[in-house]
Amino acid sequence: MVMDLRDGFIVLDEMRNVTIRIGKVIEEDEWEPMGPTPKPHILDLRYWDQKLLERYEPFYAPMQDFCNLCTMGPCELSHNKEGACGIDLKTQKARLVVLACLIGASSHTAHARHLVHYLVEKFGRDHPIDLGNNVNIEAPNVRLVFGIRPKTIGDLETVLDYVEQELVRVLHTLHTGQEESYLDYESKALHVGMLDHVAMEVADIAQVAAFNYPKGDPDAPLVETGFGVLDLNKPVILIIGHNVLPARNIVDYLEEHGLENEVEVAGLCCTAIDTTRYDPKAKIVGTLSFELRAIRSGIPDVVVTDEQCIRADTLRECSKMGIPVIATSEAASRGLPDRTHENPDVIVEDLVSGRAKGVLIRDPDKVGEIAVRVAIEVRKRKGRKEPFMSEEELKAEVQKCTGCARCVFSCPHNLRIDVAMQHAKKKGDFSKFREIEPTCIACGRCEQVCPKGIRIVDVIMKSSLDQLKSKTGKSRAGRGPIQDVEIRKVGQPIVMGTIPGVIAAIGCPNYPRAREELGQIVEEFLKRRYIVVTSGCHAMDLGMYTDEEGKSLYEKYPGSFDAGGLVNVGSCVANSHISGAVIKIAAIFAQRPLRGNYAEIADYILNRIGAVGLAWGAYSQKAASIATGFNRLGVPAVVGPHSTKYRRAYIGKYWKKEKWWVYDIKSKKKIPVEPAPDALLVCAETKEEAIVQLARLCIRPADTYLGRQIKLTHYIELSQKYLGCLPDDWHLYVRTEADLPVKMRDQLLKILEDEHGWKIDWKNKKILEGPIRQYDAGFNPTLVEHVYEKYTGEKIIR
Amino acid sequence: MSLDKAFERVTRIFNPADVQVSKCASIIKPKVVATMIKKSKHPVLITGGKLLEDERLVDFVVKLHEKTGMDVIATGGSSRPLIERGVEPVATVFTLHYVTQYLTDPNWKGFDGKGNYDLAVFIGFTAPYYLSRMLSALKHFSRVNTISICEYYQPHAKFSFPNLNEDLYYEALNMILEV
Repeated sequence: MVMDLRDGFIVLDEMRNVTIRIGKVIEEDEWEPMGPTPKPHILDLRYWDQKLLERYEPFYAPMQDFCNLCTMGPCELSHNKEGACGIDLKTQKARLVVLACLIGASSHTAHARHLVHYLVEKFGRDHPIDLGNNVNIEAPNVRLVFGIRPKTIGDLETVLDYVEQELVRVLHTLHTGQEESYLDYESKALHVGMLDHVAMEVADIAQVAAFNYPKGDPDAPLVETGFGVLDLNKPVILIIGHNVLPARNIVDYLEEHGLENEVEVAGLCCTAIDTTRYDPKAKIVGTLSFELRAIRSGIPDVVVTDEQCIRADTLRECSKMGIPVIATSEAASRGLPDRTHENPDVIVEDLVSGRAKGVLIRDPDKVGEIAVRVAIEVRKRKGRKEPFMSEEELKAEVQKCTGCARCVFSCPHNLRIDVAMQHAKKKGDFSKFREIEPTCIACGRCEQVCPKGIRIVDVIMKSSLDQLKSKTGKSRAGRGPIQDVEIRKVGQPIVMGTIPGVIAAIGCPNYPRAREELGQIVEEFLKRRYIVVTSGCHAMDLGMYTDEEGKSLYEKYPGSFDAGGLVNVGSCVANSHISGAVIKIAAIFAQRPLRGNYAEIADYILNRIGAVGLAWGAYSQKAASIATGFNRLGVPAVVGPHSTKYRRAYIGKYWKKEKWWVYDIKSKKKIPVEPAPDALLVCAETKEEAIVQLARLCIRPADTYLGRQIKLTHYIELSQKYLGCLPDDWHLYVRTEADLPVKMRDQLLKILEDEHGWKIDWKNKKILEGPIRQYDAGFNPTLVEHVYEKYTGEKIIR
Repeated sequence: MSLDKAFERVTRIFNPADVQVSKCASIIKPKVVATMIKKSKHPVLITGGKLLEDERLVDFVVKLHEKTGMDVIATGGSSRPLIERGVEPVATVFTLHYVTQYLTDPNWKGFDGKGNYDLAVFIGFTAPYYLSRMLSALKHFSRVNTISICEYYQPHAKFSFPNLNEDLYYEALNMILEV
């Protein structure tokens, strides 16, 4: 008998006091044989991590050289000393890296849980996950890690149960007196990073399926982006954070009441992106670094906060400006009274009159009415003031400056605010503030230390107001997943190398220099017909990077996942579609099974898919976790210099020849390979350096000669353009003369002969001797023993 | 303020929160920098991206290289202006992050194959916080002597210039060349 199992309970008549309760039932057809590691626990993929960590040695740059986490301390750990518990500095740093990743992954997981919980209540567990006709592999990360093919929103609950359980298990390992090898903590960080991509995927496919966001649409609408896009004649609701639920309710309320053209809905950070996926009429004001700019401008009539990356002084700052705040998240309740169940009329009156500076409304479905009514009423009463300060106030503020330079030393970028102040004070010329503004992240640290109490951020912004307003453009709304048909088209050229790489520009806005540099980096690769994928704050800033005609890169390059395409997948949680795309290449192009088969797929990606992340302004723990998840999947990342404060990088050493090897499934031999890629996480100081590193890290051992030739051509050209010379290591990537850029072949052969001692047959222009290995068209590399054994049928004697 | 006084006063860390319990860098005077380079068996000068925007730094590095013969590892794109001025860095494509990782490995043979360096002198980094992290790694995990001759005091170097205003800074650099 086949029982049709459903959630619920069964009472057995013959056993009167026995009830069998059935929790969740996931119906799984046998879509693919189960791989070796479904629902992996902490140690199940440690063998893969050890392969990575053997090559890509963790590098630690301590922020502190002490530990004060237990009462035996604080312990001085400098020069890698051990503390009272026996932990050394390196291991302590690795432990902190795990903690950072846990914070990041927990944020996405809690976000996902909140969304799924809400959607189950609203739409039921059986609501289908339908991502459109062209997306059959709906959840590549979930398939790969958890081993199911989720069909309904309810299926996602079980996935989150697993992720949450694993995160707690890893958190447990951080207690005093656990691991003593930094490598074991690194393995845990990699585990958490992997879980993070699963949680992000759950969050995003749930909201795409339920809220009818664009479903892999390359022509997703263009949305207005920038500080200057708001219509200041209308009331403005500014929403900050990452969880779309309150914003969605605001949009719905406006539509239900015919007010959608009467009120401006604008967002900051990832909520902005997700609101525009729900309603493209909504606007993106900017990234995290625009929070203080926006609030201090006085433009918003009400501020609604949800969760993550919201300034911890939002209520204080808004109160100074007379802007009421509606907090909506358990994660950021801002010390406000919970008024979820009170009469909205009373709440609105309290907020509009100023009796209440803010309220906590925990039910997202009650936020819309209050936010809209407050915005309209506040707008009527307050009128419109000059943004930031008046001209007179500006002049008076700079006169207070004594040039003590405390602001400079407190500034994360050490911006020469003192010089700009003195220039304005003595010459009445405020132009130096305009030079500072694009780099300023408006954190306000300078104001905290100014002995004269100068409103430095306001001074910078007021002096740059025209510049700020003019930074407007268009972003493409986040399109969500990459279509399977797109992967079918580009899978082969990416693996062969003829599409030279996929650059994933993701992360936060803590850039080392002006925001424009991100656009300059990305445009270099778009012109060279790399695929560029983007998300989050990077995606927003690219919308503000415009040419002389005011066109953004989204208007100049198609939104398809193809050579020369610029693909905005969406908010932070949509980063899972980028990892999902590289996983899908292995599944669709190479027909590798995904189900519970993590190490094989990550190994495939590391050796074959020239995808590299660019997190030019990463600041958050979420960014740490996302990058670490990419790293475990075999995708390297280039980060901006602030990211060295994450303390850890993964950097291989090209000269350690014993570390650069693979099993070749074709020749059934263990053979040396070129160090490609030679780092999983590395920092660049300048945009010039980042561009060259990105091209360099796209090289993979399995490139065909044509693919390698194209990749080397770009690498060498970019090195010559930005570094002024051939790169130091280009010869390491040459296997055959056919790998060499055609136009430079003779010149490079001569260098190989003269400087590297290679033997060249000049008559036939062939390399006779010199490369690390010979090129073989059938080369089929793997680092994983069980993958080798699976495809060769031979056992490796370990 | 005179250069001598600038080297004698208490200096601030470029970021007051970048604090460690181990010893902070000793302030080093230009003449001592020159002496240490001279006495070092295998010194290297590591340059950063600020050379892309500051011609005077390029001038200094070119002259120091000519005077001492010290190898230059150019990071951050600083190779381009140096090559244009006739300097041939021993490495150009490896970022400071790579270079620091290599320096922490006692078995590294250096870019010249002569073994790891015993003295690393840093100049011209646009981001003091980036150099600070790398100097912290070298302080805790290597035996390489480090000197920062950047414009901000670097607490995690073994030796560092103090914070210097623009005029004093270039005066100090010139003094290194005069020795």
